[in-house]
Amino acid sequence: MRRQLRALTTLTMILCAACLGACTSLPVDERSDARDPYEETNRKIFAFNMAADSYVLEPVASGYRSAAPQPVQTAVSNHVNWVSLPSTAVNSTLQGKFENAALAVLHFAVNGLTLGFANLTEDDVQPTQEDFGQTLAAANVPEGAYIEVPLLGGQSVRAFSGRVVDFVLNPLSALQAGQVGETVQTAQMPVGIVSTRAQYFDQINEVKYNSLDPYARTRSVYYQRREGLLSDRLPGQIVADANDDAFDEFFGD
Amino acid sequence: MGAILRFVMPVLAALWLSSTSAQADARLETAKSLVSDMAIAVKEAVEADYADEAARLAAVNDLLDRYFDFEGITRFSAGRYWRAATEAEKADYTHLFRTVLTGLAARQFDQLKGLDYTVTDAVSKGDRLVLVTGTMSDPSGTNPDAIVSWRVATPADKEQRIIDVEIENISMLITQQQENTAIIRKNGGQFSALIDVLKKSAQDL
Repeated sequence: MRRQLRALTTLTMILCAACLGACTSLPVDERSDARDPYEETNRKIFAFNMAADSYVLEPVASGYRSAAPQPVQTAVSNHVNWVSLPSTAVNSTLQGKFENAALAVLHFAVNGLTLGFANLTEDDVQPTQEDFGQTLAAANVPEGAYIEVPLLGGQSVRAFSGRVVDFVLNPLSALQAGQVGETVQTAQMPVGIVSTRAQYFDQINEVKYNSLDPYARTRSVYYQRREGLLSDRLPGQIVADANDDAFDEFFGD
Repeated sequence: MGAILRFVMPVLAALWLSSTSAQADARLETAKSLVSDMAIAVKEAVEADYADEAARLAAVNDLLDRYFDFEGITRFSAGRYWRAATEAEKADYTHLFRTVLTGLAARQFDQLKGLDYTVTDAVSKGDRLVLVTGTMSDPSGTNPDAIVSWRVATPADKEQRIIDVEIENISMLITQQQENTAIIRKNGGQFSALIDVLKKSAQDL
């Protein structure tokens, strides 16, 4: 089953590459955002993703919110975060953030007693998420274009590549060998997607139903959130906040 | 004379520095008070009973006028296209943007019920902005704590007003600006395209 899921991921990548390769990039002055050369194709995939959300994900997440008591939802959310800790540990190490790596290992080991469903650490400081996309950014790999991936949403080419690497090289795979382990790991992705959709149910619906242009708003939120994650990519480095720059420009008029 | 100057100049410089520092502190404290007052006013407004939707909308408009720099928000949200817009377009946009903004806020009032906001820090961002940071918490434990920051415009000649809210690194005003700019650019730079989209949105409220 896990092999099938990996094959599906690879297929998604190939489809993305084929889609984007088949379409021509828009000239800079015709783009609504300079980072989005494939906007026309991206908007079509976004429409597909929104339809998939409306018909499948939103009803499932809504049902989950109604049926599962809050402690259960919290436990599942904890587990989803716990599963990502090995990746955070590896990527923190690769970026030289050894303190965060150690924190991730500690939280993974301690909370592993409950498979991450309960947070047993009484630590106020939580490890910050680090993925392979952030590792690539720390290595100054260019961000690449913004692409809308079927079922996975919008992201930069660099972040998407990182996501695939994180998925394929998940260190948990080694711990979850065997039939049961594979089944558990296969279930983790859809469970994680539903849990996240439920956690941000109102916010996502706000963008989906109340935006003037949901695609542009989603893209803007993605870049700002990513900027926030990347802004600490080197310990102690002071990185200019892109949002501050926008306000400086406004007040500098 | 030289000896007197050598004595007086450092004293004057120290006095000037301490007065500048005191002014900066006062500016930060005023911004923190503004955000704290706004949080209390929003909490009261959210938990009040309203006779109808019009009364709720009036409460939102009142909050907007008392605590927010709506004129600045409007100009910022249109991005660089504001300057090129005609006076009539600017008036239409201002009216429609306010209608949509307050309409959506009134509809989402209930999402803020039961939440508390505590100011934790304020940082100066140049001469004209202060970033006030705090934590939005849910005493019921249903929602995790969230870091919410407010950008307060601090012009020398006007009262301080909030111009933006940033939640977990996501600025609502920059998001709005990028969304609006995308609509205009997609339509060949026509400001009227944004007004048309806003009209439709206002009708759907």
